[in-house]
Amino acid sequence: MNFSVALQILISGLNLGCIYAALGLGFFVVYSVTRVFNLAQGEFVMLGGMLTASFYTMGIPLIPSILLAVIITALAGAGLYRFIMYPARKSSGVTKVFLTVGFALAIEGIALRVWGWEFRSLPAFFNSPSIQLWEATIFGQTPWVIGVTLLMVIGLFFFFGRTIQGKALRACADEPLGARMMGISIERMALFSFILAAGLGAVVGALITPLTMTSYSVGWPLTIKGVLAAFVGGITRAEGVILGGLVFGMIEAITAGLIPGGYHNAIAPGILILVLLFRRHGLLVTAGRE
Amino acid sequence: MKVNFVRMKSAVMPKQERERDTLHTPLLKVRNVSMAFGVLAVLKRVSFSVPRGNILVMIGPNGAGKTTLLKLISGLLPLQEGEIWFKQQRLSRIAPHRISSLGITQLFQDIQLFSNMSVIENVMVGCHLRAKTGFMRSGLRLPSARADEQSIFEVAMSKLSLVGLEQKALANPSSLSWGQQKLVGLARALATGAELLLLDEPYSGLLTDEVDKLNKLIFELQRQGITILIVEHLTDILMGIANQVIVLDYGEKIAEGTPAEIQQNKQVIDAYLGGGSLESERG
Repeated sequence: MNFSVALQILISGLNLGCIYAALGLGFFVVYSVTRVFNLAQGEFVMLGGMLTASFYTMGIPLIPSILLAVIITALAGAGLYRFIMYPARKSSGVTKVFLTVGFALAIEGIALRVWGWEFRSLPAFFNSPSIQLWEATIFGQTPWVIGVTLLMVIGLFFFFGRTIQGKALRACADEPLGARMMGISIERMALFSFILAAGLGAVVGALITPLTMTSYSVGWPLTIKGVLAAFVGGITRAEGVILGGLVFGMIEAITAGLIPGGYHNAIAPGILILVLLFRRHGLLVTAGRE
Repeated sequence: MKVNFVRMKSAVMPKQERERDTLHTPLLKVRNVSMAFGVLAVLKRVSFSVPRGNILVMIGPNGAGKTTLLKLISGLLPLQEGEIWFKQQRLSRIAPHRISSLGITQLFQDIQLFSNMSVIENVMVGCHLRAKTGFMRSGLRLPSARADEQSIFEVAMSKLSLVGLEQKALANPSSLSWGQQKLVGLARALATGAELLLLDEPYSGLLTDEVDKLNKLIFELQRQGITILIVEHLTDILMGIANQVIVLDYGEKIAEGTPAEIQQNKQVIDAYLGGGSLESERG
């Protein structure tokens, strides 16, 4: 393998890794507050991408299009919690997961009805041109994906670590009973976590559309990849989720680069399943800390 | 009807009269509270009231219903029968976090500290009710949010100083002794601005010097006007700090009075100590 191919694989891996890390963070936000595994997260990404593309096509500038998409998707997240998860808050964990699946299917059906089968795309943000680095090509959208993901990660770390509302959210995940006694409304925090996760998902959707295009059906594959990234790193720690995303992205890019023919879609998850067999709580989480 | 009457009264009474009325009204009133888990009755028409600033100790053998009563007051269990009043407000169908915001906080036997946070962060979470900034301003780190965070930090540090653990502010709670963890739990409960503290077996697992420290702290809290309801097994410790003692047995209140009165109560000695005496239990 020559240097330029290695560099191309590294850039692709970083790009994919950031996308999967950002996807995983959406799972992390909901799981860390509610202990619910939200399998509708990929649909938030789909909604973000489709709405942004639609608004942009209607002539609305890019940033307002993304903002509108984020607001509408966040409202969908609020709806998922308020009308489905909240009434079922005393149900078992498995029931809640299936409820998120039902919501995801409903969103997918509505998206098919509204937008049809066609794929939609966006130009690279602000028509950023591709960059040639040695013989490797960096697509114009890639720096946006990496930069915005980095900003989201820093923002989340800051919010959860340094603000009183972020601490209250962490408290709900750690000791719900203790949190209630501190005057924290678990339900309000859970609602916020769904809104935040949906908003993050929408941003990811807008970010990846120039690279991958989007359609009503992209939600499920993204959900599966986000789930794998979150589990590989350790769903209970944000650092774990980011690491999991980066590892998954790198493995996928390396296998895609070395083994042509689309086998990477099977090889990368296969390797991750092997990782989970030996580190079942994730790369960064030990059994005692789970 | 009672709720309407109280609301109406507070709406029409002059402020001074209302304040005097509040001072003379017990902070907490429990009236004919009964509770059953299926066919098992755990509380049977229990009634008592706690004047503001008192230390009430509730004792009784295991299964007497003490912890259940605490959970009913803090809203963790729904009230099945009877009434609970706090500051002239009836606590019925009120979520625990709302009850906490009214001024009641419970310290659990197993403390329930947030293990993924430092000691100071734990206490800062206790200040959540004091936070004036919402998610948006907090997330955007606006100047008002920063001022709010600073004021919360200062309140949390003052509560840690009160329990003597300011040096451990940055430690993880799991690195502290059991007694210190209880003090962190107490600091966190105080940070909510509670007027009524519900302490579920606060002395369990403490060493002798930690017991003395907790006693001093409880007296200091009483001096600051905080009302304290303690559920305990260790009667000898409590007789020294209680203003008022209630004895539960099989869900029924069998005695109420001063520590001296309870020590002489034959029914208490028979039911709770099996024919021994409170003095002999101390030995």
